[in-house]
Amino acid sequence: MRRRSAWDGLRRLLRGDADVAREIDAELDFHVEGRVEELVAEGWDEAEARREVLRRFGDREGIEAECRGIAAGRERAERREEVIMGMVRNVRLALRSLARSPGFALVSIVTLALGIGANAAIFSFVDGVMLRPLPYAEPSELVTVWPGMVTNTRATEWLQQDTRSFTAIAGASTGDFPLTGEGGAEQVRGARVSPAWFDVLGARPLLGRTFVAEDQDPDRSRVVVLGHALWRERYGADPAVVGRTVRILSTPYTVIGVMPADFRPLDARTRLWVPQDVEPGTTVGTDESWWVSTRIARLAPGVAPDAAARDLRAAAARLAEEFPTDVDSRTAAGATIVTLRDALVGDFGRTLGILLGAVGLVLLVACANVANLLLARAGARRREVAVRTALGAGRGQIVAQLLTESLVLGALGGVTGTVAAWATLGTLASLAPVRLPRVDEVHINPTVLLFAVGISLLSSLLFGLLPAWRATRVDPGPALGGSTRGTAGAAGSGRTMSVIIATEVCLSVVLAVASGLLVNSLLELRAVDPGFRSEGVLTFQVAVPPPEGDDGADPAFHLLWDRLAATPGVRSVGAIQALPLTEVNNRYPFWAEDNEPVAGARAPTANIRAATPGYLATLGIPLLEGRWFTDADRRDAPPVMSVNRALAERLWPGGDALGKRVRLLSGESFEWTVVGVVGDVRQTGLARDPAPEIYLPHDQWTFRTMFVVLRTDGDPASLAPAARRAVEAVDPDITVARVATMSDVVAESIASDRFLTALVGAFGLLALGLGAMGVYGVVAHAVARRTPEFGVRMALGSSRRRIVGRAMAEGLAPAGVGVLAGLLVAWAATRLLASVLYEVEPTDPLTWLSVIGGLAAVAALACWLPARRATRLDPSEALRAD
Amino acid sequence: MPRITSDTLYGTLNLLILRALADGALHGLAIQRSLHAASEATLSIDEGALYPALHRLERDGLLDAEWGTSENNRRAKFYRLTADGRHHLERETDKWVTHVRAVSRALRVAAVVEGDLPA
Repeated sequence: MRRRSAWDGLRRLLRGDADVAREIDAELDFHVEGRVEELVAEGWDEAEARREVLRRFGDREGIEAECRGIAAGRERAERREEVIMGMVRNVRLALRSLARSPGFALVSIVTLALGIGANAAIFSFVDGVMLRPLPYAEPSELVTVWPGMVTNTRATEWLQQDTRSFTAIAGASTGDFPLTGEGGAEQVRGARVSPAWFDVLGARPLLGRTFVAEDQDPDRSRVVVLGHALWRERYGADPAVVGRTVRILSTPYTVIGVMPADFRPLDARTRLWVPQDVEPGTTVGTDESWWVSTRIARLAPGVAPDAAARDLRAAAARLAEEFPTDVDSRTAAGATIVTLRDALVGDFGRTLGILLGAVGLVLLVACANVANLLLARAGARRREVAVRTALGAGRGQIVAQLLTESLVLGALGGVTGTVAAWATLGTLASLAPVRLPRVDEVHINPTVLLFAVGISLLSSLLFGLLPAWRATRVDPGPALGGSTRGTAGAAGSGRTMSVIIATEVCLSVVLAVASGLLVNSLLELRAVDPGFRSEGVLTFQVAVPPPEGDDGADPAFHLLWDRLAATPGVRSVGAIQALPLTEVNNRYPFWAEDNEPVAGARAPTANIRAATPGYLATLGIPLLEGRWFTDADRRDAPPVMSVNRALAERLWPGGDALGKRVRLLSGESFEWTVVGVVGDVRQTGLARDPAPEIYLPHDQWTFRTMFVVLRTDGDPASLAPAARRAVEAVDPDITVARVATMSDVVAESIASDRFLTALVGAFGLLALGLGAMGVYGVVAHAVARRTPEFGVRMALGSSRRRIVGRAMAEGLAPAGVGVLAGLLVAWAATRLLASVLYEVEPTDPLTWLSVIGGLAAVAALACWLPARRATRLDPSEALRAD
Repeated sequence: MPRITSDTLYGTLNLLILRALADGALHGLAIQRSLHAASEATLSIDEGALYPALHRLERDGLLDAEWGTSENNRRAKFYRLTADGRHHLERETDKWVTHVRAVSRALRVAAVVEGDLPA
């Protein structure tokens, strides 16, 4: 391989086709002239000789063209080779140069790795949760119909029959399914779905079949479709499982199908499906199954989403017109469709967007830091650059070399960061709220890698261009002269560093303010009184099989409460059908006797919960008026209810709720009497105001699935094994699920807020640390650069304090500008947070003051530490310093 | 066994050019003269074959070219063997000699059957 100088290579790179043609022309001219001279020497007349030579030459144009073609091929190959060789050489030089300053390299790479790694990790969430297409056939055609609305099965059918824009509309409601009998008692999540559910998703069973319309008839034998995981784990992947009987709370169901492993339910936790029951002959008005919380549909071919939404809205309006007491016309006017992906992502889109913004800021701060490190290093490398310039290296070459160094740094940082992201992704995913959809699809996949490569490249240019460009503005004369003291170039780089520092501090301030607001919001949320006392309470869900006899006796629950109460360590026992702050909640319409229905008006709704006599005291909910339930409120006793304060104040503002009579659902008469008013409980979320609530005695309104609450003086978690044994002693077919302390339940309900706050807070701290490092670096650089000047000043009698002040000003001035700019930017940017903040305004003065104070303290410290060094100077040494 | 392939003739010209440059750098005209003289005036190479061949050899890295001053003080493009070129020359010369011997033997012993030659 021929060796050419880099300069030669660059010249060749720039050489155009015209030069090549000229060279060929010159070469052939030389040949012609030489031949003519030969012939003249042999005695030819010159003109004759020239004619003869040209004749022998033949088609000169053709020869030239052929040579040009060959040369062009050569030039291309050479250019490519030169570029590659140049890159290899530059990369080798860069690696050698980085190896010479391992401290600088390490700090830069770690800084970049933090920035790029954080971005890769968050982006893999964005990719897995939001960007990747849903794992169904033609996912873009899938929509949710009328999100937020709860309908019954008949209303879902009504919408299906009254619209033309969808191939099918399928409804679903998720629930808990206690599997009993062979294989042990185990509660799994499942869904009641319309027969078309799987068809809408385009899913085919692995074994057997999915549902048909006839499966909805409650008088036919009950059927179930198993998810792949349940089939594998509970039924040993038995290929003959179709036709087998499984028991759900002792009721036999026939397995008709098994879904394949690659079928992903909308909710990853769903493990089995059963058809919705539809009572023959019911209408929207008489069907009591008001729990169809999700409707999905596939857009018919060629139907635009807008047209489908209009079609649906018209159908909903007709539904409201037909059944005014069941469907509100205003709600119907809001009926719409949302793409299934958007519906699944829900609020998490906003959370991930905020996180992506936060890590973007972190990366910018990291880039600013590395840019400053490079600038500081450029000062030290000025002699090297000057030598090269003096030796004839062009500016372009030096910029290329320095940029290659940046690219190498970016690549090393990117690789380190991506590996770090890959290593921490599992932990991050486990911190994520359990409701985060498709979190199992969060991986470092090719898309994420491409993203990491992209941001590494972009970062390299971002932090590398300015220092590279500045580094070449070196006059070789003074730089080679030996000393670098006080030269204009260094002061210039100081100014550039100040601008970068100001930018960096500005970005850190934005993140710090955002973190501060989120932390305050989370603290507010945690300080909310949920209306019960969570500490010292263990909770779990039990599903008790129905009694075998038909004499109406149902002794299992009382046996269970008694057995649990007798368990050592248990102070009190209670149970409720829907525990606060879980996703279980049932909202029903009701009528109060003195609040008669006006014709056509809609009934008010309330959350209705069945509870045991021990519930109120065990959770520490205050009794405000009247009495709570007792063991005397048996099935054959007069029906009674308690209401919460919110309901009592809404319906009977005078405070005379006691003794009022209420009709529930489609009940015939006002049979329930209010006997007590209890305190409000935040049932559906700490951030949500308490809703009207009705409690019914469990003996009078029996649910087979109940949440048990146990109060203890000790550690509630340690009570779990004894509680399990007590349950099993009553009946081994009773399933136990969702074992948790009540404090965990409360914590899980704000997991999403905690996830966001923890990550933004971590990124805020990271940015703050990087910003402080940057300020420190600038001041340290300035102290080093101005050492001779400080020496002079000290020799002239300047006090140490004044010197420290001057040194600190190098960092405090740009930091101050950055803080001011950051506050302005944050003022605008934190508006975006308003929707995720609880009881904290984006302009919360306390947050802003504490962030400003904290930043000022950090900035002052970052300035003071290196500035201190300036006072340790011995003036005579400082003057000699080079 | 040397093979006679379709580019044998073309390869011959290349071989001759490389041979002409074995003793030092020459410009195109000098190569033409040198080959003419070396073959005792039996070989004459057209410019139309010579220059494309030179450029091709340069492209393939067997020759290196540089502008210099000719014996009569004109700017001329001088070609020189690269290490690859020298290597190629030695290898191909050996092959050529073997080949010529084989063909000569064949011609002496029997007429060459056209179809026997792999194309």
